[in-house]
Amino acid sequence: MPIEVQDVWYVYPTGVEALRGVSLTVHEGDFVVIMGPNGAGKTTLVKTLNGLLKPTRGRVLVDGMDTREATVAELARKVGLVFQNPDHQLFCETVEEEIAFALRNFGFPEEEIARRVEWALRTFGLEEYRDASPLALSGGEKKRVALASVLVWDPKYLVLDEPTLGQDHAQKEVLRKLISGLLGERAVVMVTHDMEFVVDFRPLPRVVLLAEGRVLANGRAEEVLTDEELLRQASLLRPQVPETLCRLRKLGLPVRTDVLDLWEARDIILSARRELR
Amino acid sequence: MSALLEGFAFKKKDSLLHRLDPRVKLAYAIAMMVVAGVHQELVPLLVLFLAQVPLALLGKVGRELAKTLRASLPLVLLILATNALFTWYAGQLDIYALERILALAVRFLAFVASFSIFTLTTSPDDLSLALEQMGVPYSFCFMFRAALRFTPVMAREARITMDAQRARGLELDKGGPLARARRYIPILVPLVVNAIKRAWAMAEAMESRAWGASEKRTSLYVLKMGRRDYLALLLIAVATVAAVLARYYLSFPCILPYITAALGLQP
Repeated sequence: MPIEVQDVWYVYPTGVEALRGVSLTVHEGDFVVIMGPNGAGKTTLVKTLNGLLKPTRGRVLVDGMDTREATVAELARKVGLVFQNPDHQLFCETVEEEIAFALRNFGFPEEEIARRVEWALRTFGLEEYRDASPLALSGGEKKRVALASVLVWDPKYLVLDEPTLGQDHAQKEVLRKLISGLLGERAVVMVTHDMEFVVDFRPLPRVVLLAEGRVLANGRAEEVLTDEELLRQASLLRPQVPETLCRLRKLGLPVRTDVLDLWEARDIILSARRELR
Repeated sequence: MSALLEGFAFKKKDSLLHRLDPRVKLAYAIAMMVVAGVHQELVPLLVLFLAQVPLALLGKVGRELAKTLRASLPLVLLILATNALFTWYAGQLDIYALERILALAVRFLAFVASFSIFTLTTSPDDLSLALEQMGVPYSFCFMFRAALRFTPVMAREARITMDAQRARGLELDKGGPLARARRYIPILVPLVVNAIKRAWAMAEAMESRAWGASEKRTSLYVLKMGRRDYLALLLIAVATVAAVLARYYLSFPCILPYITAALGLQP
């Protein structure tokens, strides 16, 4: 069963309408990226998925369960949300304890906790830091601990809010490998601004564009992220590959522009050149 | 707790009190503290407390004051409960003791009300300026201003941290009071750590902008007492002296016995 967001409105107590009728479905094993300008309502939207925010109007169903009728803890068991800034959650004395925190909250038996923490330390390359303070780690390591501390309870839906914020290129590649390894087994929903991070994923995700609390577009990355008009409305820059193709087209080379893959673009350019001859 | 802080927060408005020199208002708050501290009986303290109401209305902050007072109710109940408990434990809980305990609670309310009126009608900047011109070292004034400035930031951080931990299965309102207090550790640790980090970052930013470079600081705005301010100060002085003298030259009756008698209750 999926997560269904049905015509959700969310109004903050200050009167700001963050979401204005958002509808969205996240299926099992889905890979969805939510993009849009600052203040589009991306973070608000992901907070409705695990019941931290209850919709003002409309409803969110997680596997058929209305989020208004369940506690955050019950929903979190299925929907694991990793926040933007790990500094808002790290508090334990050791990395090991930090990763075990949620498992204790959910009442896992001790042997199971030990087994899962071991798995998480290994998967995220954190074994050497097991006894270190999570507060003393570098930014990228903190991010990995935060991600591990959520993934360790094996949520069916993993939601990542800006996972690449403040990460250098090498760290982003580590993160991409980690996320790619999770695809298929569980649904991954990712909020990000980072266009080039998105377009290098294989398989490419489904992209939901959000602006001013409304869904602008919801479709395959190749369609959404190459549409000049949509990207302009969402204040996003066109990725490098379709940008190049568009410029070539303007120069008179008859190429398709709805392509994100570099190798595919190369083949298209080469064959178009051959035709010109 | 956040409601209590909100009740003290300044909101820009225009009234006679808002236009008064901040030093005069500070003098008022301190004078009220002295008077409330000097008196011990219920009657004068009640009078003192009720006298704050018209003043709040004059400053157009009646509703905000009501909010502050409502938010301070748990503390009032705590004062009543602990005093009643210990007096009862000592075997001295009669109607006169009860009146004394009630007086303590009303004294606290009078404190809260007068200080609340002061902070509600004085912008933090004005207050800091007043302290500065009264010779308080600038670094202290700045500290005070920065603390006020970062209160909403801290509140926001607390909310985010709470959300992040709840997303990891933390249930804040489960179990008894002790278990519940323990559950706040995952929220307090990141909050305090981030606050310290921010303080360091701010100190470095300030030093890189030559904070404290000049020995003698000058201000763009200089507070100047007008005729109205001197008049208000005089009124405050006269009222304070009269109220303190009243403590020593007047005697106030206990009113609880009269009330219970009027209601036909057994003391």
